[in-house]
Amino acid sequence: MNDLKKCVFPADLNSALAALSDRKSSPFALAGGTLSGKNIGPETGSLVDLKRLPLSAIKATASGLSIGALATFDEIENSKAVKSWAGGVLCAAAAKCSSQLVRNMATIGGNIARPNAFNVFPPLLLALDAKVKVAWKGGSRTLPLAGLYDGTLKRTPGRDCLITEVILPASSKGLKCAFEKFARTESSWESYITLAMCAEVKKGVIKSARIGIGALSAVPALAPKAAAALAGGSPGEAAGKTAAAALAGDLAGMRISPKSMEFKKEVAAALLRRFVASLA
Amino acid sequence: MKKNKTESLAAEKGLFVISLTLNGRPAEFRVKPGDFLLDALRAHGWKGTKKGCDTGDCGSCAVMFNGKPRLACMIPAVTAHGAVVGTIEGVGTVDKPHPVQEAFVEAGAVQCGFCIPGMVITSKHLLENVPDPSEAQIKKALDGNLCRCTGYVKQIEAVKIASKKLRTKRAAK
Amino acid sequence: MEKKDFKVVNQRVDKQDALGLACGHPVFADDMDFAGMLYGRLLWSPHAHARIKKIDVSAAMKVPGVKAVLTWKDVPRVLRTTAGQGYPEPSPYDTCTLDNKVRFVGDRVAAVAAETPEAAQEALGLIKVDYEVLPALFDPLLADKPGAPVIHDEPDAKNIPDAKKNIAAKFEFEVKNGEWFKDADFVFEKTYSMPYLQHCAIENHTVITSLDHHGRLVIRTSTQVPFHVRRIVAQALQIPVKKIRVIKPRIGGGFGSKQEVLLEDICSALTLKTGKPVRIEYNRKETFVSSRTRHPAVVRLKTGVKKDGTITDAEMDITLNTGAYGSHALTVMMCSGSHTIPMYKVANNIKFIGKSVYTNLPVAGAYRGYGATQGFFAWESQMDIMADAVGMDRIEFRKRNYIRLGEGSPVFKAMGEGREGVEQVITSTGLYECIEEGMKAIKWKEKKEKYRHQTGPVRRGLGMCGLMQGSGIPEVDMGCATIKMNEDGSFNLLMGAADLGTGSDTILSQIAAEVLGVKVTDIIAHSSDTDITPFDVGAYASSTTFISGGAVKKAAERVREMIIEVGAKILEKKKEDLRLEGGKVVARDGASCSLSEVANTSLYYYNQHQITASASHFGHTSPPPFAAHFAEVEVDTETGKVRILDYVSCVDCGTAINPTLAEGQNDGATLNGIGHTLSEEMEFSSAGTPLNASFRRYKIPSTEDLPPMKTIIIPTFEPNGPFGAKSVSEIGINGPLPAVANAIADATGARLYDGPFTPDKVLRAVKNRAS
Repeated sequence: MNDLKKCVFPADLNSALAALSDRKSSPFALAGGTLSGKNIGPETGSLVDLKRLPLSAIKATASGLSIGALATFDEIENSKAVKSWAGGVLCAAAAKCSSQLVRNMATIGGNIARPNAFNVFPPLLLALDAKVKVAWKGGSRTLPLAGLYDGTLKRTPGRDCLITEVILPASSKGLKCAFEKFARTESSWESYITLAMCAEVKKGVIKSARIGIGALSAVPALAPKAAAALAGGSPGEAAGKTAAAALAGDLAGMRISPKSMEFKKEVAAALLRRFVASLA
Repeated sequence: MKKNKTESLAAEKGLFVISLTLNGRPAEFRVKPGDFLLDALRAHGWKGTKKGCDTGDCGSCAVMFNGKPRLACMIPAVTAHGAVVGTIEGVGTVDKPHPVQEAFVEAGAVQCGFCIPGMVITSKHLLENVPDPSEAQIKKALDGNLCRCTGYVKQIEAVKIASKKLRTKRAAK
Repeated sequence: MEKKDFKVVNQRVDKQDALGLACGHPVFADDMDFAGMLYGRLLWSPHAHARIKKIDVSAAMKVPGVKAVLTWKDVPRVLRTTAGQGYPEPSPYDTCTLDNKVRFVGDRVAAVAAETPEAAQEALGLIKVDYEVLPALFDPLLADKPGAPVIHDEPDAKNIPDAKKNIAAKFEFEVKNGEWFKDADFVFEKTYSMPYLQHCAIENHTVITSLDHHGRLVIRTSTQVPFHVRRIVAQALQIPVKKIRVIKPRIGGGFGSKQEVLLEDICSALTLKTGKPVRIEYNRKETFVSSRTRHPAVVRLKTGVKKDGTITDAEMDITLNTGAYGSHALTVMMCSGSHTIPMYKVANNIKFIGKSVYTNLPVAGAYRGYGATQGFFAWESQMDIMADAVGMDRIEFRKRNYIRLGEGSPVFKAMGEGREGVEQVITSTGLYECIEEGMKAIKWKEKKEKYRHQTGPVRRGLGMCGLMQGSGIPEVDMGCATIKMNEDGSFNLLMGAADLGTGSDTILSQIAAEVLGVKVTDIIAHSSDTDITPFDVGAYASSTTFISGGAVKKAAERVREMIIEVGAKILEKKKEDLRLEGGKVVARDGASCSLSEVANTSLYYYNQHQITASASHFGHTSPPPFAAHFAEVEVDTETGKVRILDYVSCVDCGTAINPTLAEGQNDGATLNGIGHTLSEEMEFSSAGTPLNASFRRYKIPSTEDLPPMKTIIIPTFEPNGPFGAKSVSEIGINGPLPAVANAIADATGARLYDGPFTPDKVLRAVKNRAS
């Protein structure tokens, strides 16, 4: 950051996007700064400080739960709207992020903008089938979260576009969910494995499920085999065991280092079994 | 504090000049592009805020920043322009200590003292928002302030003592 | 002297500097600005083992703002130790300020001083080094085997027992009493291990050196050992001691990592070269990698036990990994035996075999616990194993075998800390009370009963351990204090003793105030300035209360004599009829005069003299503090996660000079031990590169990791200590590893022998137990 020549404090989205489109100034957008603040390279000539943008509102709408990209972990954790959504699982996940001082600064937008194994929201948002709104000068697009990592979005959030909003679909409101970050200590950034487990349960039947896996790779993954194994079953020990066995297949299919793979599989299986049993 | 005007700062001779409100008074800092708020504070004589890790993991650099305790080592100094900042020096002095500072002394919660400014900043904010916190709430609020000396036992006690002191103070008003 | 109504000692007095610290006073090393100060940075080796064939600093020197670049050619080659120990230090002389060989990733290569930190950083990047990379050694168990690379092949190293075999220290001791294990009904041989661990004091190592108006070197440093710093810098840079002044400001924690002369020599060299103040401040990564760590250790403990609960024989074999240099290699190794074996009554044979070996990894040094941590993990785990084998209650087995009041051990004389120890017997112990109180506090019997029949994957269990440590190094550690009286009846207390946040300034003031009959606020403490305060070895070996406190008490008693002498003249009474109380000299018949009157008389009116005295003290014994730790754990046998549900530590430190501070010391030590037990370890790549040298990846416990935890002080009275005091600061860190290992075994039947007990290891142990 030693060659920084300019710092812009946009008060509205259009000014922010205009600043980012000024390629000559080599701009970089900064939200909370807890991930990227220490990694602003020497090529950055202009810092675009997003903190003044009115992008932190959280509200339930007809199409779902809208969370402004600049909402901090602390704001999300304490939001009534978030608490009443999907059993408050986003609050539980937000609480698991690092420490209070970091939660006071880190934003949901920053947490999903770049792939990082220890980021807390990506596996959960994947499991909740969330969408993300991205804006750039003269345009915007709403796409599934995975689109940020699989090349669909041919832009780089923070450099030439901004994530403005995270939208949880209305159908996710009544989901039964659990978020497990299995780590060495309570404030560990890394974990052995992170699981975001969401299930739609109606009249004692698991209609569908989505399981997001974090910590094993930079990009979060879904566990489709485990989800398929759960669909149509009734919650309980037997369903749990079947799903856990299927989950092992999902994990085996991920290209992860074999180190402690067996252990992670066991833990994942236990956590999934317990989640399924809890749905009864 | 959110301004409703877009602003822009340019570096002159390799330095940014930023204006901020520091401990209730207007202040002007000359900061290098690569500085973080922690470096800028210390360079301008505010030595109470400490550098323990510079990666946002120890909390000894905690300051009040626009109404919340935040990590000064993670805030690029130039982005503190227009911010309202509070450091430990603004909380209280030896002649007029804040009840939270008194409580830390009474509880025996100060050993080496290096983590204490950050602890006080965080604790004070907690008590202003949750006047009678449970032990679980205290632990959660302080989980970003690392201490290797005390094992936290007396620090948690200090927050409880401070809560009582502040309640007495409020009742007296 | 029996316990009596102490007026100041054993009171919960506020720590003198606490309020200032809570207000953010600028009292730490880096809080002072020096005009014209340069920023020093060090260049680190990227290789685990290499010779520096060529080093070219010409490009670095050209960076604007760079004032000096030093390599091994620019500083004296004086092989010495960095260990802050008394002279002659019982550590190998294998380190010099800058060398032409590097021995671990993170070893020193060169030093730069520049006007800005950016210029210094740029200069570092422009230093061109030609390395001849050598094969590296990482496994301490292979260090002395044929074919292992020789790490210290320099001909001028001294005090290395066997450099060709990478042996930095070795020691053996045996008590022979018949055939080994012939009386044992059961023999157990187990191996216990601990990894690299770091102190993680929140303040990084920081030094600022400058020249005063007389051209003397002034070193302002975050150190536990100011007088050793002065001597060793003089030795390293070949300048006279009288040209150096060392000042210790407030320190942000040390725990042993600052019992080391780490940066003062190179920073001083930069100041001598440039004529300017220079500051070197480690960043967190440098503190992890390039300061000091705990000695990783492998302990093989072979013990025999009889059906009646007698421990028949004990063979303790420890290999410590001392890293690339041998700082504290001998002493930590010896303490692993000298601070543990005496705890136990062994009927027949005792053998201790210890060695510390070099590897191409970070340098281990002093760390709270100092060998006893490694030793007690082995011993106190094995106590449970032996108790179970003979069918005795685990606590009854210990009570039967622990050392008691008046008893001694052959180990006390045979093994000290770096040399022979001293014969001693236990002159105070509250160990049994610690055990009783701890059992009550954690509800041992009730919970053991409750947990006898458990089902389900989540299991609970209880474990405990007994501990001892030492109180200073007998016949070696010395401290001195000077007290002088002021007009208003206050006193300046000048001590070499180093307060590293422990509150020693306060408790030493309490001791002085108790003797002089004044309030602790009438004592003005000033410590650790080598020009002004008298000598003290520094803060280590749990010696400050016991040794420095002894010196303060003696000095205060001498000053008391002088006051009474003057008071006798003023009151026209006999000296024997006078005492000091409440800020006055008081006669048996109630007549009194104020201390201020005494001071003014002595300074101004009559037979003018300054009432002042100095006194030195060193110990002839090292009375151990004792402790008992109790842990209740919950183990999830499907995931391996261990949660501590309750933790009680009861500690006997004699008289607690300040109970609040003593509790705080023990709380901190215990939680640090819990960190060692459940999560902390340094990790390295196969090339010796540190992988988790940051607070982001090496997590120390936060408030969210704090289990319900309680310290109970069990008072006893140690006749050899000031007002009955012993030490307290180290012992707590040794408890969690064995207590939690025992609790996990109690809960699941699975025993862990390798710290930390991370979920993957616990799960594996549980599954192996089941099969």
